[in-house]
Parts: sequence; structure tokens; C-alpha cells
Amino acid sequence: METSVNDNMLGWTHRNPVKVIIILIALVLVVGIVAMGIGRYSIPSLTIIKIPLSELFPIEKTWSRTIECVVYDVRFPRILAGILVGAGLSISGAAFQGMFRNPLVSSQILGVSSGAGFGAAIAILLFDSLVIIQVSSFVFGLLAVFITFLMSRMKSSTPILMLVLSGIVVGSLFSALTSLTKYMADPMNKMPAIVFWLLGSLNHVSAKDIRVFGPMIIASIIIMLLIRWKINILTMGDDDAKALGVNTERLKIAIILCSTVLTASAVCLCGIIGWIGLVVPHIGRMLVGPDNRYLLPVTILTGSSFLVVVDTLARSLSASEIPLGILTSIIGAPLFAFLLRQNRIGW
Amino acid sequence: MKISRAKFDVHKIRFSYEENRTRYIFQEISFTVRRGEAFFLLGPNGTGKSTLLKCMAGLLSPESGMINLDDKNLFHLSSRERAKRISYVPQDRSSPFPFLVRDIVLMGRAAYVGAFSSPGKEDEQKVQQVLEQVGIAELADKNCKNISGGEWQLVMIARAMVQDTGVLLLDEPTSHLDLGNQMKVLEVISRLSEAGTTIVIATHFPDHALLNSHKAAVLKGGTFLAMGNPEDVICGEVLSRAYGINIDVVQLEEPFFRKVCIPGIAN
Repeated sequence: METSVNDNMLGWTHRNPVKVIIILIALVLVVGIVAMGIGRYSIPSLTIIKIPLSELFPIEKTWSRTIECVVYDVRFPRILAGILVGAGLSISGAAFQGMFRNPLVSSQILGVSSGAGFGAAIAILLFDSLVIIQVSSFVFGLLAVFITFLMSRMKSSTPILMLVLSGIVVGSLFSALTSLTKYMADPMNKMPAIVFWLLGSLNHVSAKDIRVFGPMIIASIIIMLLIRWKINILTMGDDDAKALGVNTERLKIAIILCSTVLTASAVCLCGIIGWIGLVVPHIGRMLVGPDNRYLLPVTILTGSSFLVVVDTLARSLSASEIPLGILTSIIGAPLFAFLLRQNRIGW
Repeated sequence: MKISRAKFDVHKIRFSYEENRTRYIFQEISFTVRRGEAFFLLGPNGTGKSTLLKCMAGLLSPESGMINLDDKNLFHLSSRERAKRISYVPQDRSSPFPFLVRDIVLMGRAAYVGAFSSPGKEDEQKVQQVLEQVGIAELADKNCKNISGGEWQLVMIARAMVQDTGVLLLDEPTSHLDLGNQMKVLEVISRLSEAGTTIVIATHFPDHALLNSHKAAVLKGGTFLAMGNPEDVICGEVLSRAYGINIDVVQLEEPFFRKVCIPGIAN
């Protein structure tokens, strides 16, 4: 029996995926609690844990009312948003990489981010309300993917190559429209607002936003998790999956729908954030391999921690906030290069 | 595999890839494969063997004609129902991701797993059992990208077997394999055939049809040049017409007692 060197390099084959998942859950908790303590008001982690517990148990309040406000109204919604967006973008990326049979795609491939970005830009130009900006962004995100899907439909099937090409077409069309909007905007006032929105930030997330987008994000993630084993089969190609009895069209539509809702919600909450959907699934594959039964949960947890860490850096590295989209790329790109050099993923 | 009637009736099917139907891949093809029969499909490259298998797998629907499995129209079955009756092993398929062999074989259970669930313990046990049956249990935890072509073909056959069907369709299962691996794959196939599985194989090796089959056919230019008993179908005349070169089929002397094809060299 010939044994290949590569087999030994695949570290994940010897790892227990359940153990990895438990460690990652702990990591999300630790990162979340530590991040809640970091900022202009530095709060010890122990206090962070005590604040919610004091609502249930009689614990002596050693902190001021201001600290409680900072935790409840500012940091908690922001970090929760980071967890939800990080999870959503990462799981969409992983599911799309499976569906497109290509480890280099992310959820933006069908044009959802470009559409949602344009929706936000045009709303900033014409109106001045955060609600309208978010609704417009969400609607245009869905619209872009819908156009992509219709363009790629042939004889009641949706070939993957057509989807990719249509996505590129629709994506660049909406990017051009966004540029046009920027060009037409007032350069003193509206244009910077559009640019900052597109660069991404969790700055303006409120508890109300979480109540609106949270359930949508969680529902989409749950659906993705339920169909995660079937995504494995989709990686073998359409013909194979059909011959094995999988309804490939229904599965593809479910994945596209969930991923679009997740990505559009992410853009509504915090603008366009690149790289997470591409890099995090690769980290997941290094940890537990390509089996989506384990990969998707691992991706959710890794993506959450990753975005919370990057967001905490974004708001604490300098006196003014660094846009999140810039920082994810600055951290994500070299990290991805490093992972590729390690060549431990197995492709 | 499950013993069922698994009788295939293909009746006068026509197929074209083009919208305007100017060129037919095959026209008015009819044949029957009975339960437990091994049917070998020969013919030159590009003659439509793969297309015919895809039609029989329900992946392509012919323009006219009927394909019945146990007297039921194949295209009236849902893909899930079809996958419980027919296993299809495509040519040269691979995953872009380094799945373990065990996980690839497990995919064969898809038709038995609910839309929103993952396979359970029994499915995993079935996989283990089939891997042992095919003789590749030691590959179970290997990266599917790092196994040889012959091993991959056995993995695909194992995946087809966990589907628990009565019919196995194989598209050139021995192409790109060395002599030893060709025989290993054929051995597994003939064991399945003896156990009652109905088998249809597209192949480029007439010798394999002489070794293993109950029935053979030669497809060329959209019709069958010959079909029936392999001893009669695989003869110099038919093969020469099919492949456009001079081919002799000779009977070997003792101790072999078998026929072999000898392709001639021009001039």
C-alpha cells in the first residue's frame, strides 16, 4: 500500500471535530467577554460577567451606572452584531464554496454585496434616514441576486458556470452604479458618508437593529446547518448529486436564498466587509477538513471570533475608528497567503 | 445489494443535445436488460454510450421513446425514488475537496436521508460493511485526492453499492486503469452480477465483454451494429466495422479457452 506524504500533512484527520467545536465555543465566549471590556472605558472581565448576573442574583454593584450603559447599550449590541455578521458571512462563504465546487468563492460572487452597497449609496444620497438606508440596501441586495439567478436559468436548471458569469456581470453593473452615485453626490457631505458606509463599520449598530436582523440571520444559519450534509454531495457535481437522489435545484435555491439574506443583512448592519467569507472557511478546513457536517459549525464559530477580534482592533487601535472593511482585508489577505503556503488544506 | 426484479426496458428512444434536433446521438434504440444480466455496451468514442447511460440513469430525458424499469416509466419517478433503484457510476468524477473515502462512500446514502438531516449510525455501518465487501476497508480514512485511479473506481462502486439498488450503470469503469486494476474492478463487478444485480457497462474493451458479459451490443452512428450473445456480437466483422480498422477475434488454445481481440495494424 503506497502511503502519500500528503496524508500525513492533513492535520485534521487526526483531530476530533467535536472537541474542536467545544474549544471554539469557549473561544467565542472568551473573545466576546474580553472585547466587551476593551474601549474608552476599560472594564475588567469579571465585572462584565457580574453585570448580567446581578439582574438575577443579589450581587453587590461595584460599578457605576455609566459602565452598565456602556455594556448594555453600546458594546453588547455591537459585539453581538459582530458575532452574527461574522458567523453569517463565514457560513455563506463555506456553503458557496461547496456549491460552486470552488474554494475561491465567497458569498459576494452572485453580486449581493454590490447590489446592497448600491442600495445603501442611493439611499444615503436621496434620504437621510438609517432605516431607509438599511431597507434599500437589503432590497437591492436581494434584487441583484434575483437578476443573477434569472440570467443563469436554462431549461429549468441552473448551471454553476452560468451563475458565476451572471454574478460577475450583475456585480460589476451595480459597482458601476455605486460609483455613479458617489460621483453625483455632494463631495463635502454625502460622498464621505457613502464612502464610509461602504468601507464597513459596526459603529452605528443599535439594539433595535439586532432585534430586526438577528432573527433573520439566525434562521438562515439554522437552515444552512440543517442541509449541511447535502452540500457535501453537491461538491461532486450536479449529475452525481442528482443520480444520488438529491434535488439539486431545490438545494441550490435554499443555499442561495440563505446566503443572500445573510450577506444582505450583514451589509445593512455594517457595510461591505470582505475576506471573511473567503478566509474563514479555509481556517475551518484546516481544523476539521472539508466535511460540511463539521465544517459549517466550525466556520460559524471561527468567523464570529474573527470578526469580533478585528472589530475590537478597529475601535481601539487608534483614537478614531479604522473602517472594518479595510482592517479585515489587511489582516485577512496576509493570513490567507500564510494558510496557502502551509498547504495543509489538501487541495 | 438488494434483490429486486430490476428489469430495464429501453424502447425506441431518440436523443439530441441540440435545440433544433439536427443531429441525433441515437435514434430508435431498443433493448432489454433482464435481472442479474451484465450488459456490455461497446462503440467508438463519441458514439453516445455515455449519453445512453445518462438517459438510463434518468439524468437526461430522451426526446421520444420510453425507458421502463420494472414496467414503470423511469421519468415518472422522483430523483429520490430513482436513486433507490438505480446506481450510476460516472466517468472521471472527483470532488474538489479532500474528503475522506469514507465520507465519499457515505454520499451514496443520500436517497435514504431526509431533506433536513444527516446520515446516522446505520448509514455509517452500511458504509463500513460495503468497504469491507469491496476489499477497500483500509482506504476508509484516506484523503480521496491521494488514492490511485483504480482505487477511486472501487470507491465509486462502493458508493453505488451503499445505494442499495438492483441496477448498476457504469460509464467506462476500467478506462485509465492498468491491467491489474482493470481485472480487480471487473472482479468486483462480476461478483455483483452473480449476486443478482443488473449491470450495464459502457466500455472500450471488447475483451472485457468476452470475459464477463451475458449480453453485448455495439453502438455506432446512432444505432446498434449488433446486439445479443457476446460470443456472436464480438466478432471480427462487427468490430472492424465499428472501429474502422481490421480486427480479428481468435480462440486461444489450451489452457486458456477464451477468445481475444487482436487489432490489426494498417498494411
